[in-house]
Amino acid sequence: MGKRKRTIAAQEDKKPELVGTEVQNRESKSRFKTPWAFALKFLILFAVCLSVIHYTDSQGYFQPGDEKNNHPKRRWNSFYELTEKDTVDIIFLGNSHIFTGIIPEAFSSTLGCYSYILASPTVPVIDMYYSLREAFTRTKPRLVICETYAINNLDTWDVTEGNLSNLYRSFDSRHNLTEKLTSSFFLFGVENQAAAWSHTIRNHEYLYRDTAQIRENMVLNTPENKHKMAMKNKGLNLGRFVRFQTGLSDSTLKLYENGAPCRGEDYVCSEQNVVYLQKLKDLCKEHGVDLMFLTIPMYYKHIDNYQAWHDKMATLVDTANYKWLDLQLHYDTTRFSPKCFENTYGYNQHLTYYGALVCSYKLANYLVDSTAFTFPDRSTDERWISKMYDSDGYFYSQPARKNDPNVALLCKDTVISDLKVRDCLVKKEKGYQTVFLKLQKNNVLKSRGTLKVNLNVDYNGNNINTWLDMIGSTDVDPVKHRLYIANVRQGVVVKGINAIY
Amino acid sequence: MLFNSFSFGLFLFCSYILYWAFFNRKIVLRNSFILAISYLFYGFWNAKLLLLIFAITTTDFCLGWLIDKENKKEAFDSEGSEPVASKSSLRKYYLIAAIVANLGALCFFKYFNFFADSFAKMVGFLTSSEVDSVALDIVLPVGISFYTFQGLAYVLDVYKKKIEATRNVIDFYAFLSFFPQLIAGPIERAKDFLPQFQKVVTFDYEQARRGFFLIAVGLFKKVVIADRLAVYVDKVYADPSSVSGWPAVVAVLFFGFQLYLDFSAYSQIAIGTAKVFGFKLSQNFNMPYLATSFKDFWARWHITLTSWFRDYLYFSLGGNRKGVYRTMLNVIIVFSVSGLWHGASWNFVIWGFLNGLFMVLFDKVLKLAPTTLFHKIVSSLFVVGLWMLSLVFFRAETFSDALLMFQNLGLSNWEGMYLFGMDSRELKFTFVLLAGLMLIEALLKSRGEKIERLFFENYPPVRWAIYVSIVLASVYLGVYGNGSDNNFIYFQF
Repeated sequence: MGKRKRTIAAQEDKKPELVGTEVQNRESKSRFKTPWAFALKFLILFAVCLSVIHYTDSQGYFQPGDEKNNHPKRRWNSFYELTEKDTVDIIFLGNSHIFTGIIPEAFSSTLGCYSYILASPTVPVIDMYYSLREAFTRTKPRLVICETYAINNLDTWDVTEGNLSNLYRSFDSRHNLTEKLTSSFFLFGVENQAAAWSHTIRNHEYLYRDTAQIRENMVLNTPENKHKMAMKNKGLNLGRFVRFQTGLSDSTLKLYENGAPCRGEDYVCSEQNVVYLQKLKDLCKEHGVDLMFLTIPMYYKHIDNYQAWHDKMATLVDTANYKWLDLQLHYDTTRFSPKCFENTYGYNQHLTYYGALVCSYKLANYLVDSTAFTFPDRSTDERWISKMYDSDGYFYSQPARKNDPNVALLCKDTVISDLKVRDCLVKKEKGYQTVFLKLQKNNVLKSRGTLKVNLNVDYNGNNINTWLDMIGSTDVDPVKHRLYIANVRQGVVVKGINAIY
Repeated sequence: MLFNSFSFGLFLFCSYILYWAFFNRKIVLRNSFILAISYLFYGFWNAKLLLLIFAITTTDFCLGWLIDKENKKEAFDSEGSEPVASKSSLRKYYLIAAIVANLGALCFFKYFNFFADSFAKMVGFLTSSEVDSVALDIVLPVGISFYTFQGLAYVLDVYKKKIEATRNVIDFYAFLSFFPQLIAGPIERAKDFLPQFQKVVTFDYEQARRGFFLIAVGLFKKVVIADRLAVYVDKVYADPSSVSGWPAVVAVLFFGFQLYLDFSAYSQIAIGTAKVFGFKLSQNFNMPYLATSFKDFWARWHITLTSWFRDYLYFSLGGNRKGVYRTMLNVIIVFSVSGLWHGASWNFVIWGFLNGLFMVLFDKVLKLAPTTLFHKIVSSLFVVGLWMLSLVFFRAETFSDALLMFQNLGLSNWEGMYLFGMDSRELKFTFVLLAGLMLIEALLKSRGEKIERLFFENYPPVRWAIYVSIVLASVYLGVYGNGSDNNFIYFQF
């Protein structure tokens, strides 16, 4: 060993001194062997790996199976599209309760402005706060309406897998990189950051468990299919997502006889939600935007001791300074009948399409009758009309265009039989026609339920005057008029309206 | 903060930048920084338990210093030919105090409920009545088994005059809490490790590069292989009564590899991290599944713990100097205690006892075999096979679960293999990974240095491609995310 060491030492002694370019080479080499060079190389490696992950993300290979039904993404895409040239006047925030509980098309039509639902399933207040922050970078609404069911016990740092995937989806749907960067560390724990930003990391186990999904995604994300999808999703989208059509069945109603599935006294709000609720209020104040709260109802037997829930929520909402329309408390058994509610007996219950319709008009009337909030009237604005025209509930509140081949405008702003008529129109439907008669609310009517209207019609080549029974709508209650509806068969051409009785 | 977590990556990168930018020039500054980040690292688990590690460090430092003082006085007095008996007993008291403090803390936090329960059962058995045990709601401090052993080894070394006690508080605190090895070792000796805190370290690019490579490989082993095996193993051991035939065999095999890969990955990451900061940690694993005898196996498996027990327990019991039977007994005692060290359960004691027994019974026979490749392979399979079977006691929740597993081992129910969290494709892939791993280990054993030199000194594009592949394979093929339990197995000890 000693001999070997001596030999090496002797060899080292014999090494010639470095001169000229050799010295330069060694110096330049050592320059690349500093801690900084090492860190830089590490970052380059990191960037290379990130770019590969980004590539698979951008190609959508690891998208979840229900990506075709990614309504939060569609919602944000449409929001950006809409706010490119238009201002949204009312923004709804919340979770699934709001996007199944309000029909923004009908709501916007009756108020004559734009409203939009920016909500994702199961998200708590922190998500609403950051969504609103991003929304404010695009538009300045007059009013923000926050649904109270999202003010719950969830904390984004301590959520289960299912809830986390909803949060990821909501985060993923947003567009503004700066807003996402600033909110990411508040929305998710450090360990969930990578998954929040990348489909690949979130769903990487598809490589083992679901290669069929990857193959499907590869087909789905070809340019042609992407284009097809974009075309399919074109059209007005104000953020609603109707999930439930049928109401409570008799068998479900029977379950309520055993007691309510929820108890008001069980209500707890997470600390994170309390903090972000205050932040949400401050954010609205900072931007000079009004804020109010709305509670979308569940079936009246759904919650036991609702007053306890209401009292706790009233403190959180701060009812002295903020308006709160609690539709659960002011239960209306006529309007909110069992057909308004999702057919479920569990902790959580949504509204059906019908329930959402009732809710939308109740809210609109509340805003007009009981608050001082004002909104621009865009109902005469051609841009607004072209966007909203023929959308869900549009003709309940707004008149038809004169040259519309599908909707005939019989009269507008006139007096018939001493009654002020806003308009009357006949709309072609599949297999029949619907007559809409809108009477101003200040009319004194003998009966609100039904009316008889004398119409002038052409039928089988004969021009005749005939009486038609029209029913006053209870679920659809526009803010400016009362709506009467009747159906007439195809082939009848309604020419005019003679009298109303 | 787990080594395989995003937060650790962030923590490591920030610490690295700060360390080499500001803190590496002066020893005091450097060690203070290491101490601060180590306590921060530990505080992520439970900030309150920092008090415990602080108290144990302080105790070891003071008692080591007092023993050292007595050592020096003794040396001085013996030079002056004065009687030394009283001084030497003081040394002993200090040593006993150190043992009581370290093992007392370990026993209280780790074994109190176990001993109380065992005592109650014993009393119940003797009196034929039901005796309720006193169970305390105690949080097991992470890494307590490791840092108490490291601290105790320091005091024992000072007592045996192998080293002088350090006078530098910060050095010692940093030595005992050095974050890469704080939680699960390697258990370092003061003689080798403490001096590293007493000299200025300049950045060694080669070491850093090797360190990074170790971290990347460790992560791959943990995330891609060990955690995948864990899915299967956890499902089988969750209800051993529902498993029979091949699935049980596969679970036993998988756990053998899971434990090895999990712990060796941890050790690699720890060693790699230390390298990046300019420190050298001891090797903890040296391809144990290529061992041809039990002695050889234990010289390759958890090397720092085995050597700790050898130096401080086996030798204290007399080692092999007191005859054949006493040597055998010593081996069995040491292994049983080592089993208990792993966990507060009789299952671990049985596991340790069995391994002691294997060594005593079979090593002499295995040594008789000729040293041909075939015999080496057969010996290896025999050693590793018995080791894996003993691990049933290590992994099973209860003694009866372990017996159930043994009962259910067999060569039937082939189709049942796919019912435990892995389909046939995933299972095949896992077997390919394991076979590949063993092949690489065999290659490294025969040509390790050559391969290492080739890798680090030539073909940068190939090297980079391998780096990128390892990282990407961990990302795409790893088991992680919400719902996965990614803890290192040895963290529980």
